[in-house]
Amino acid sequence: MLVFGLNQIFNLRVMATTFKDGDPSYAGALGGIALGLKSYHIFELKDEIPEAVWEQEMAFKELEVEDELVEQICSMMREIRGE
Amino acid sequence: MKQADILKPGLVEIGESAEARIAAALADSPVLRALVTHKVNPMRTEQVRAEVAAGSSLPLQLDGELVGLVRRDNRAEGREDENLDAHTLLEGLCTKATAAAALQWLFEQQQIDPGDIDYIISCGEEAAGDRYQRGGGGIAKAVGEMCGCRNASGMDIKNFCAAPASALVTAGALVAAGLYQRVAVVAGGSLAKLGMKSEAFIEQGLPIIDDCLAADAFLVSSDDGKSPLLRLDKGAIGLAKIGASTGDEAIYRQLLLEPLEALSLTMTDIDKYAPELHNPEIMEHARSGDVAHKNYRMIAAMAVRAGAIQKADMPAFIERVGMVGYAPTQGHIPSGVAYIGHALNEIRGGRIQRAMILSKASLFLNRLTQLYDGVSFVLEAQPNSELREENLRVKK
Amino acid sequence: MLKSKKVAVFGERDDVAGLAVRHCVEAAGAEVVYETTSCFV
Repeated sequence: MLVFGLNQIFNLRVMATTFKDGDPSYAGALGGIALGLKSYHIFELKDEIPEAVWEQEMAFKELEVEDELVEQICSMMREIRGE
Repeated sequence: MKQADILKPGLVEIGESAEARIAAALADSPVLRALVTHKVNPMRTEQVRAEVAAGSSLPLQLDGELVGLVRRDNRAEGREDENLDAHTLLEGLCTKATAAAALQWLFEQQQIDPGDIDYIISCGEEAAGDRYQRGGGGIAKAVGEMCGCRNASGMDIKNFCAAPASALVTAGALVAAGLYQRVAVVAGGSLAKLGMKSEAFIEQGLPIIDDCLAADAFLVSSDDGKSPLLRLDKGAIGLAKIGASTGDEAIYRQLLLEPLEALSLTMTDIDKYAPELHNPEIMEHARSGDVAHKNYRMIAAMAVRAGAIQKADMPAFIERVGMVGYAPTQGHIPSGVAYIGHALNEIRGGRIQRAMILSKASLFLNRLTQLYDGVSFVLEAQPNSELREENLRVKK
Repeated sequence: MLKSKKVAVFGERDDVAGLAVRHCVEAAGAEVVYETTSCFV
């Protein structure tokens, strides 16, 4: 699986779609090749990460990034995974 | 660039069709004319065209017209060295020429005699040298030589985009220690980053707006009783220590809170923060995000953690202490220091009392570490300034 | 969910750096086989 830390909606969509269905622009090495890999953003995996590690590595990020952006990223990732 | 070229045979040739036009434009410039120290023998246009066609030399064009070339070091000791090809030497010439233009501008604007400069620190993005020492250095003295700083020595400081902040702190320390009285800090433009974000603009047929080589020059001198102060108290310089955790909180604590604590200040005592001030019109269109805004979110998050503001107040705090990014994608220039000229004007004009410059550097790009770096420092009004007195009274 | 998974990590310096993501997923039992951090500036 892929785990992303980048927050740019456009880039995230292109990359997550490419790893699942192949390069949508048919330009790169994965043009037409569907690997079927699932992509997640690290914000979605909070419940999976030991609390102390999350607190050290991610808690400040959660405060820093706008709540609306976190929600937008998480719902887009779910949509791309087809959930 | 031709004036920055000191090799025999030269690295830069100017074609005969353009030489007079370029010479006249330089003579017209009150800043650049001082940098014209040798006469240019133009090259015949057919010769320029033939050498470019032969392959190893790069064409110089002005409005689409071939006006000259840049060549590799073709001397025996340079011929086989990939660090001395036309492309690499062009990067070095661009950084030297633009740094010299910035330093000369400083001299003109502040009426400084170049002979009064004691030391020069170069902190641009380029590293010059040959295959035995490809980042050898020497750019500071090359620039000083071009600007007539006959009494100065110098050195280069490398620290990715935070190099100007590191250089200014070093310059301040050299002056504070009494070693030198006047230290010039210069950073030439980065050719490699010219048009760095152009891809999305080209795709959509829009004009490329990261279209300049940006350079800067600063003078750090002993206290003249008038100019804003660079705070160099023990602990006042923000650092990202090697042992800090990879989480942003630990790093920002060291960059923001610890230096302010050392100065007995809180985050709300700083009137303006200057982090990486990349122009969002470039960054967002190139899908890199508004880097300046992201940095302000980090600063505001730290203020929340420090108990200086509430989470809900982050946007208002950013509105107060922040600004919209405006610098081109030239790495070292937007990294905090682009605001220094404005900060000095604002402080002198009594509109702000303190600014914090906050640079970041992606050290991990060297593939030798996973660290990134940060350097911060505070610029402050003179203790006797009216505004400062006023503020102190209010606080009391 | 992450236990024994092979993971590729794509971070960004001003968003979440690759190393921070790696520390998180490794702590949850994943094996990071590819990690990169972009710098857009």
